[in-house]
Amino acid sequence: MFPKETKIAVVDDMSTMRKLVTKHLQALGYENVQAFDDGAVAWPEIEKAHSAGEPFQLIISDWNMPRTNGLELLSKIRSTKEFAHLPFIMLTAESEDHQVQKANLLKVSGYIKKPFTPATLAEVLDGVFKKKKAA
Amino acid sequence: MSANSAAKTAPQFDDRLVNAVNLVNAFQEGVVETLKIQCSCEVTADPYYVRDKDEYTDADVAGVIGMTSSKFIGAVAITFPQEVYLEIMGKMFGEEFSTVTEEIEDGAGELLNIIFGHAKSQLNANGHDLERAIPNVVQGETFELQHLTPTPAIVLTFHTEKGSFRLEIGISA
Repeated sequence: MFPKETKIAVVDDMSTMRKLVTKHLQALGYENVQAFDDGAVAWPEIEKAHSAGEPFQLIISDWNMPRTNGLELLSKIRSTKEFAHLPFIMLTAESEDHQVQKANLLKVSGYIKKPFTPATLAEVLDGVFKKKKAA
Repeated sequence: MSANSAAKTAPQFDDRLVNAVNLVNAFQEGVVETLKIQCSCEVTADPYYVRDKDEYTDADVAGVIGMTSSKFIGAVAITFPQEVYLEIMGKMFGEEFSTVTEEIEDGAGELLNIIFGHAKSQLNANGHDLERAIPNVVQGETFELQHLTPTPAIVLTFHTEKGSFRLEIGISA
């Protein structure tokens, strides 16, 4: 599992979901969590945090957002050298095979289908961390 | 009766009816599964009915989402009385809410988004090509949800411990 001090960005346009994911992460012991309401808001913050020497170490993002969606955010992250290996989990109600494939092509680290339980979140976090460690 | 004559007398279902039944089943399952997994809330469902043109839905919190496909366009709405909405949000967060706060005011839209995702994935795996828009949320003192589409909506009613809520599916060919 990721260390408890891991700096995490939660990106979702719905405040209910931002609150829920943050709450589940806190229950798992993660206190360094910041939430953003769109990929367009999160992206400059991810860059800024990196420049300040306090980079985000994990992104958990929704897919459907009005300005910059999760797939576009993932694409920006993967095409930026500094973030090419930044763990990125897609947490979304979009779960058709062709959509999962699109995210996989952009090297998504993990995929959680809504509805989800705290146990699923913990399981995917663990899997992504193990994959990162093994890389 | 021979297989041949059975085939001749078998009812020929209209495509629109088959679409409607598929939609109802997919959305009904979506509601039950979403509420169970996301909100730890068991709900029971009544048989569906078609909303009368003079019938209006009273609600305190609602989410509406537009849908398109090559076969039809339409919209889906979920409507809650405040007491039921707060019960569901309370179970989802493991907290007690006495009012609809800013943090949970878009919960109806998010639940509908998840329900829609479930239904969409099931329907599209069976030959549909359903797409959606980003949901809208309506909240306030008791308001009336007017008709989603010119044709009458299909109404699904669900029951929780504290009351009932509805999902309406409106389809235009």
